[in-house]
Amino acid sequence: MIYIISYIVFQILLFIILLIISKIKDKRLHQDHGEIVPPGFEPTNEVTIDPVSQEKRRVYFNPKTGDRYYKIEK
Amino acid sequence: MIVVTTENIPGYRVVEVKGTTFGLIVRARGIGGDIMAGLRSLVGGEIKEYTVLLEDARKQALDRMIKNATAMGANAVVMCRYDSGNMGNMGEVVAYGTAVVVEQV
Repeated sequence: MIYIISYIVFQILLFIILLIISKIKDKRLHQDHGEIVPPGFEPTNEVTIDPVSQEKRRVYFNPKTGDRYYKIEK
Repeated sequence: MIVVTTENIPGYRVVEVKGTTFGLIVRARGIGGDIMAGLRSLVGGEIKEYTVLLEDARKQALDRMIKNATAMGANAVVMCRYDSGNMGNMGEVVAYGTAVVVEQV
Protein backbone atom coordinates (compact mmCIF):
# COMPACT_ATOMS: atom_id res chain seq x y z
CA MET A 1 0.00 0.00 0.00
CA ILE A 2 2.81 2.37 0.96
CA TYR A 3 4.41 1.76 -2.46
CA ILE A 4 1.23 2.74 -4.29
CA ILE A 5 0.86 5.95 -2.28
CA SER A 6 4.56 6.76 -2.82
CA TYR A 7 4.14 6.18 -6.53
CA ILE A 8 1.10 8.50 -6.74
CA VAL A 9 2.85 11.20 -4.68
CA PHE A 10 5.91 10.90 -6.92
CA GLN A 11 3.77 11.26 -10.04
CA ILE A 12 2.01 14.34 -8.66
CA LEU A 13 5.33 15.91 -7.65
CA LEU A 14 6.78 15.18 -11.09
CA PHE A 15 3.73 16.76 -12.73
CA ILE A 16 4.01 19.89 -10.57
CA ILE A 17 7.76 20.19 -11.33
CA LEU A 18 7.06 19.87 -15.06
CA LEU A 19 4.34 22.54 -14.80
CA ILE A 20 6.75 24.92 -13.04
CA ILE A 21 9.53 24.30 -15.61
CA SER A 22 6.97 24.77 -18.41
CA LYS A 23 5.86 28.08 -16.89
CA ILE A 24 9.46 29.30 -16.75
CA LYS A 25 10.61 28.03 -20.16
CA ASP A 26 7.49 28.51 -22.30
CA LYS A 27 7.86 32.21 -23.06
CA ARG A 28 6.64 34.16 -26.06
CA LEU A 29 9.19 34.85 -28.76
CA HIS A 30 10.71 38.37 -28.55
CA GLN A 31 9.14 38.90 -25.16
CA ASP A 32 12.31 40.77 -24.25
CA HIS A 33 11.76 43.25 -27.09
CA GLY A 34 10.24 46.47 -25.77
CA GLU A 35 9.94 50.11 -26.74
CA ILE A 36 13.65 50.99 -26.70
CA VAL A 37 15.36 50.00 -29.94
CA PRO A 38 19.06 49.09 -29.55
CA PRO A 39 21.60 51.07 -31.60
CA GLY A 40 22.31 49.95 -35.17
CA PHE A 41 18.71 49.03 -35.99
CA GLU A 42 16.79 50.76 -38.79
CA PRO A 43 12.99 50.99 -39.01
CA THR A 44 11.17 48.99 -41.69
CA ASN A 45 7.59 49.18 -42.97
CA GLU A 46 6.88 45.72 -41.55
CA VAL A 47 4.26 45.76 -38.81
CA THR A 48 2.77 42.74 -37.08
CA ILE A 49 -0.32 42.58 -34.92
CA ASP A 50 -0.24 39.63 -32.58
CA PRO A 51 -3.30 37.41 -33.18
CA VAL A 52 -3.78 36.72 -29.47
CA SER A 53 -2.51 39.74 -27.51
CA GLN A 54 -3.39 42.24 -30.31
CA GLU A 55 -0.06 43.92 -29.59
CA LYS A 56 1.27 45.98 -32.51
CA ARG A 57 4.99 45.68 -33.20
CA ARG A 58 7.12 47.40 -35.82
CA VAL A 59 10.16 45.54 -37.10
CA TYR A 60 13.59 47.17 -36.93
CA PHE A 61 16.44 45.63 -38.90
CA ASN A 62 20.19 45.60 -38.30
CA PRO A 63 21.84 45.41 -41.76
CA LYS A 64 25.22 44.39 -40.29
CA THR A 65 24.09 41.36 -38.29
CA GLY A 66 20.76 40.55 -39.95
CA ASP A 67 19.00 40.67 -36.56
CA ARG A 68 15.47 41.95 -36.24
CA TYR A 69 13.97 43.86 -33.33
CA TYR A 70 10.23 43.97 -32.69
CA LYS A 71 9.41 47.34 -31.15
CA ILE A 72 6.08 47.63 -29.35
CA GLU A 73 3.98 50.46 -30.79
CA LYS A 74 1.00 52.02 -29.08
CA MET B 1 16.42 43.88 -46.19
CA ILE B 2 13.53 43.78 -48.65
CA VAL B 3 11.47 40.60 -48.45
CA VAL B 4 8.78 40.03 -51.05
CA THR B 5 6.64 37.15 -52.23
CA THR B 6 6.85 38.36 -55.82
CA GLU B 7 9.51 37.58 -58.41
CA ASN B 8 10.47 41.21 -58.97
CA ILE B 9 10.64 44.29 -56.80
CA PRO B 10 9.19 47.42 -58.44
CA GLY B 11 11.86 50.14 -58.70
CA TYR B 12 14.70 47.67 -58.24
CA ARG B 13 16.61 45.32 -60.47
CA VAL B 14 18.31 42.09 -59.48
CA VAL B 15 22.05 42.30 -60.11
CA GLU B 16 23.13 39.07 -58.40
CA VAL B 17 21.47 35.89 -57.20
CA LYS B 18 23.10 34.54 -54.05
CA GLY B 19 21.03 31.39 -53.82
CA THR B 20 18.26 29.86 -51.73
CA THR B 21 17.93 30.98 -48.16
CA PHE B 22 16.05 29.07 -45.44
CA GLY B 23 14.85 29.64 -41.92
CA LEU B 24 13.63 26.58 -40.04
CA ILE B 25 12.14 26.24 -36.58
CA VAL B 26 10.39 23.54 -34.59
CA ARG B 27 8.56 24.80 -31.51
CA ALA B 28 6.40 23.23 -28.83
CA ARG B 29 4.23 24.51 -26.00
CA GLY B 30 4.96 23.39 -22.49
CA ILE B 31 2.84 20.89 -20.61
CA GLY B 32 0.69 23.73 -19.20
CA GLY B 33 -0.12 25.08 -22.66
CA ASP B 34 -0.80 21.61 -24.03
CA ILE B 35 -3.24 20.81 -21.20
CA MET B 36 -5.07 24.12 -21.72
CA ALA B 37 -5.18 23.51 -25.49
CA GLY B 38 -6.56 20.00 -24.87
CA LEU B 39 -9.30 21.36 -22.62
CA ARG B 40 -10.13 24.12 -25.12
CA SER B 41 -10.40 21.60 -27.95
CA LEU B 42 -13.20 19.83 -26.01
CA VAL B 43 -15.47 22.84 -26.35
CA GLY B 44 -14.24 24.10 -29.74
CA GLY B 45 -13.28 27.56 -30.94
CA GLU B 46 -9.84 29.02 -31.44
CA ILE B 47 -7.03 27.18 -29.70
CA LYS B 48 -5.08 30.26 -28.64
CA GLU B 49 -2.17 28.26 -27.22
CA TYR B 50 -1.44 26.81 -30.66
CA THR B 51 -2.11 30.11 -32.45
CA VAL B 52 0.64 31.58 -30.27
CA LEU B 53 2.87 28.60 -31.04
CA LEU B 54 2.51 28.97 -34.81
CA GLU B 55 2.72 32.78 -34.83
CA ASP B 56 5.99 32.64 -32.88
CA ALA B 57 7.28 29.87 -35.15
CA ARG B 58 6.44 31.94 -38.24
CA LYS B 59 8.27 34.98 -36.86
CA GLN B 60 11.31 32.95 -35.84
CA ALA B 61 11.49 31.19 -39.22
CA LEU B 62 11.38 34.57 -40.99
CA ASP B 63 14.02 36.01 -38.64
CA ARG B 64 16.33 33.08 -39.37
CA MET B 65 15.77 33.25 -43.11
CA ILE B 66 16.66 36.96 -43.15
CA LYS B 67 19.71 36.38 -40.94
CA ASN B 68 20.90 33.68 -43.35
CA ALA B 69 20.29 35.95 -46.35
CA THR B 70 22.31 38.71 -44.67
CA ALA B 71 25.14 36.25 -44.02
CA MET B 72 25.06 35.36 -47.73
CA GLY B 73 25.62 39.02 -48.62
CA ALA B 74 22.13 39.61 -50.00
CA ASN B 75 20.12 42.76 -49.49
CA ALA B 76 16.75 41.31 -50.53
CA VAL B 77 14.80 38.06 -50.62
CA VAL B 78 12.38 37.41 -53.48
CA MET B 79 9.77 34.66 -53.88
CA CYS B 80 9.52 34.24 -50.11
CA ARG B 81 7.33 31.31 -49.09
CA TYR B 82 6.27 29.53 -45.90
CA ASP B 83 5.71 25.86 -45.33
CA SER B 84 4.54 24.13 -42.19
CA GLY B 85 4.06 20.75 -40.68
CA ASN B 86 3.54 19.12 -37.34
CA MET B 87 5.09 16.38 -35.27
CA GLY B 88 2.69 15.46 -32.50
CA ASN B 89 2.23 18.60 -30.44
CA MET B 90 5.20 20.35 -32.05
CA GLY B 91 4.84 22.81 -34.89
CA GLU B 92 7.40 23.17 -37.66
CA VAL B 93 7.61 26.20 -39.94
CA VAL B 94 10.12 26.84 -42.70
CA ALA B 95 10.48 30.15 -44.50
CA TYR B 96 12.42 30.11 -47.73
CA GLY B 97 13.16 32.33 -50.68
CA THR B 98 15.86 33.44 -53.09
CA ALA B 99 18.53 35.69 -51.65
CA VAL B 100 19.46 38.38 -54.15
CA VAL B 101 21.37 41.62 -54.43
CA VAL B 102 19.22 44.41 -55.83
CA GLU B 103 19.92 47.98 -56.80
CA GLN B 104 17.56 50.84 -57.44
CA VAL B 105 16.76 51.54 -61.08
